[in-house]
Amino acid sequence: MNKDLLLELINALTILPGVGKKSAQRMALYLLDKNKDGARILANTLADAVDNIQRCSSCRMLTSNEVCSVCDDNSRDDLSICVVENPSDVLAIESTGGYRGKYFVLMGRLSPIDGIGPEDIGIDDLLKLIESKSVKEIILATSSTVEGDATAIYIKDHVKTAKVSRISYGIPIGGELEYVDGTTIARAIEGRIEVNVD
Amino acid sequence: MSQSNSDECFLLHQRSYGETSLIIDVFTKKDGKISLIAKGAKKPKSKFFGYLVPFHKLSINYSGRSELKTLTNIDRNLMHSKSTFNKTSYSLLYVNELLIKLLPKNAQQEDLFLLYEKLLSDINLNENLELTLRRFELDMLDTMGYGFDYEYDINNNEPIDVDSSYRFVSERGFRKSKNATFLGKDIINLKNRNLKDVPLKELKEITKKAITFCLDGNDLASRKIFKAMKK
Repeated sequence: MNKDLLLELINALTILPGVGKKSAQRMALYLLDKNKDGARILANTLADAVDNIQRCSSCRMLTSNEVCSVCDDNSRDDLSICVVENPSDVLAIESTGGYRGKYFVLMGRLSPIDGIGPEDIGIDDLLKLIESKSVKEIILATSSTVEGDATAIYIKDHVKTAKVSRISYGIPIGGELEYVDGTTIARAIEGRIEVNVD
Repeated sequence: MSQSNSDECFLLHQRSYGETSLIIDVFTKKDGKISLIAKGAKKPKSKFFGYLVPFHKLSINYSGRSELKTLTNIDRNLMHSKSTFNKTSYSLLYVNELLIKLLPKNAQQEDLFLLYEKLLSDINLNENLELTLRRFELDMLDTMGYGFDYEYDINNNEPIDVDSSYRFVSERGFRKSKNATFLGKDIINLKNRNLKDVPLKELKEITKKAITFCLDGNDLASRKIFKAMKK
């Protein structure tokens, strides 16, 4: 018996997060029926990406080259490294355009209960990178959870030669205090900064 | 109709479930360790957002009949607690890992709950960290039924002699042994929790052995991280 490609395609699409059987069915029918060219481009790009995208040898960001475009950019500051948990964090910071240094992607965070230790998130690579490039500043942009905090303190404890800072937490822009949760307010007060009018 | 429960608890661990939800393991006062699903908790607008933090006493409501219950409400008292993470917090992560691995599900452990609460407040008051942890470990072993015999030699049932030296046998207690460094008076101090007078190295070794035994010989991941921190 021939296998049914349509069913196979629908099943294959359900591996995407947030896509159930119904959505997968709609996507498959759209691709096959309404937009065959788009489907071909999608298929080729996907196959190409799966074969060629790997971790950047310097910062562990996903890239199709040996080093990613950020690490390759000579106009960026080599001496400052922003440490993040996931590739999506790099994209989030890049979209602000406010940071001109380089990155290091941990691909996770320390979590003893889940059995994730320092060796699983490439901290040795990070320390080597800091040493080999004599990096001056480390900006820790791990998430604001216990695991994120544990990761930040662990890194701070192991970096001896560079200045280590952590991104600040606090009230979101446009936010009113009344609607912000207690821990955030407490941390925002702890991390207050002097008002500078210049 | 599913019943609604209210309880006090401490968050031990959380993991992602789907895109926006979390499954949390909490240590409750009335029901011991239970797992709850916090639906939508990762969304910034969720009523749980920002509340699901470990090391703070939380008041919760939950409902459901299956093993995985649903968290319906959460509140907490933030007074008198520090919100920043520091090196001490690693020790608390260690204790949480210990409780996750040792506590049976859905079994009331109110004494242990009170011990845990005291541990957190002692640590907030900056008591000696090492001794506070060791005391918690010993008390925990006792309340969970893994405690050992402090009064008699396990070999011949003779009372512990203050001046003789003893060797620790995990899961059971102490046995007289000529070359051992642990003395009878240390055992008495251990029993009375005068931990200041017990040699620190031996104290650590005993609790570590006893806990490793309870974990069927498995090591704890947080211990490995500690070791790396101390280097």
